[in-house]
Amino acid sequence: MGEVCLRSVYHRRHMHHTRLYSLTCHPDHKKDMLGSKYSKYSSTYNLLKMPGVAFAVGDAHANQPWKGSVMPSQDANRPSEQARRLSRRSMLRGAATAGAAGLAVTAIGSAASPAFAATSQTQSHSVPAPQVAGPIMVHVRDAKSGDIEVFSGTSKTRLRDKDLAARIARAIG
Amino acid sequence: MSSHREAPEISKDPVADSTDVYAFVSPDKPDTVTLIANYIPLQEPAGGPNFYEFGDDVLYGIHIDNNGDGQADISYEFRFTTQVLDENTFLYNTGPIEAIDSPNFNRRQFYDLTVVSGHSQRTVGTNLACPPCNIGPLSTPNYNTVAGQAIHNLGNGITVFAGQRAEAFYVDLGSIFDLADLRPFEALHTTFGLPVTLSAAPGVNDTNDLNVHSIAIQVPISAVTIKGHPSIGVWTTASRQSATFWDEDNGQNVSSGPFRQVSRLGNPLVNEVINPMGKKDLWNTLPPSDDKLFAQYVAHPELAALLPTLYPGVFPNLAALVKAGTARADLEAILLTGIPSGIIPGFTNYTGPVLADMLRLNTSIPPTAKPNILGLIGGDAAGFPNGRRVFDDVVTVEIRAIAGAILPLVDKTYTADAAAGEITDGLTPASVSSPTTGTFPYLGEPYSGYYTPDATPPAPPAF
Repeated sequence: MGEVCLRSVYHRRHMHHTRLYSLTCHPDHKKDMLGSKYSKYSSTYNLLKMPGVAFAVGDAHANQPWKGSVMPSQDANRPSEQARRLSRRSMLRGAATAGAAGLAVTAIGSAASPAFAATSQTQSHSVPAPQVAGPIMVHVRDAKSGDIEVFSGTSKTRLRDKDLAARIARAIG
Repeated sequence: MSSHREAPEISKDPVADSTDVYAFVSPDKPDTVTLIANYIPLQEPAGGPNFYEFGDDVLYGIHIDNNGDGQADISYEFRFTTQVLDENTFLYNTGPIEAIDSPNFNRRQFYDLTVVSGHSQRTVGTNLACPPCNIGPLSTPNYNTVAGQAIHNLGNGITVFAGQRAEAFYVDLGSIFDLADLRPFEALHTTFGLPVTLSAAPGVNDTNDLNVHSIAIQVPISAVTIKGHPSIGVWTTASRQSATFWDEDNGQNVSSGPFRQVSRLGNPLVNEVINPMGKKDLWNTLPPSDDKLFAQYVAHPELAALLPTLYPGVFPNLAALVKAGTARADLEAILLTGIPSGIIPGFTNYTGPVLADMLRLNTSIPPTAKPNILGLIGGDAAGFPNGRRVFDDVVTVEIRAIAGAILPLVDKTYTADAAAGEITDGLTPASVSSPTTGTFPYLGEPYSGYYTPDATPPAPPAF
């Protein structure tokens, strides 16, 4: 686990701009830029690069009907676009830590455990942790297509992120 | 039953299971309407030590459509919070509960009430206390006094109550779900050649001596209607957050995500005996505005086809109607649109052409001094299906309607079978041991765990 984190930090520091670009590239190109040597860590890198991932995913699916929705009566609780982005980051973060801890993918709580505390600490240097009350739950509907639902508070966000889904699947595999 | 355990999924979730909805012009405050939504069916009164309570994780709603589109224009939303004073005892109460704020009331509930209208929502009550369950003469010695302290006046004409009450809905479940072997008509039933009693017998109220949890709200008519539209549609819902998992560290469920509707109720018995089993769970998740999806089951009710089979020769005209495949405009009017003007002289509760299962109440019709439990078909325009009062005999009304008793009003060529105006499960409000009352919240004192079912309690003091 420590090796993964170190390599990830390396990627983050030295490939930041490349990575932002790669998010808009064809997956094969993305793989080439990261290099086969590090490809197996690409999803970890993805998770550590929260802002890039969150914006890319959010923008790509901005008009998709599967995007999170809430009951009309919950309008006042509906997060702003910025809050939703923050929320996505926090959810991805939750998923990442849960994946590292090897929790089931259908339901991941927010309670920290020693097993993934180290991972959280590493990430906290790169991405400030948003304050999210209550649990964050991740439901990988289809690991192959990367169809993921993330639940937090009274909101749901639906993502399509093959890397994240693959990482979670590996964590439980 | 009206809607008790009416669908496969919600039957496993009683805390969110809406069982009955009532909507009527308040008899003692005729400038207001009273809306009551019941949950948690078939409560055995002695069910301790964990007595019944609302779900802290459920969003309860009572909705009003005042423009006929089948969508909520005003919603009253209730969220509950449970508070335990002493976690180190197994006791619901550690001594007599003689007041609602008694320190002996160990496990108590409070709720917030939010009024949602369009995109605005306004919290009009916070930390409103619920009464305890009615446990017995030592634990809840002055039950009605304590329950009365749980009636909250919130200003602007809003009065609210949430807590346990006696089940007011009366029904002979045992006969209805034994292949509609209605006891008063058993001599006419086919009985499939089986050796059962073939003499007429009175009905048995299977919901007697049982409690429910009620949410009751009384609001000014002017607050729920718009000018020129006195008829409103009313329904209730319960919603749960869409993701739940079992937190084994804490031994409890944890929920997250948006609230999604898991239970709905407008007119009694619609999801119970109109919608087929394969559609019931779906129906519970949808708003009334989507009910065109289920209109075929109202237009061609399964029970209408069963009656002539189960009671051979008793419903020949109904049998012919079913055989002809005639769509039931009468049931569509009663259940899905309201009754247009011109069908019943001087009466309408039509809300428009949108097919939506809502309890429709024409708020301009005043309460009746001498109500008829058969409501509109009994000549009492202030009763079901013009809204629903707590004592209305909705089972008989709907069985008769399905049997074709009302169809001649919309189809002058149809003659109702004589039995259509007589069939009943044989019950009346007298079948309810704890009678309804004339004042808010109108439902009777809940049955006491100590006295039910075998002992006879002393006469309770006035509520």
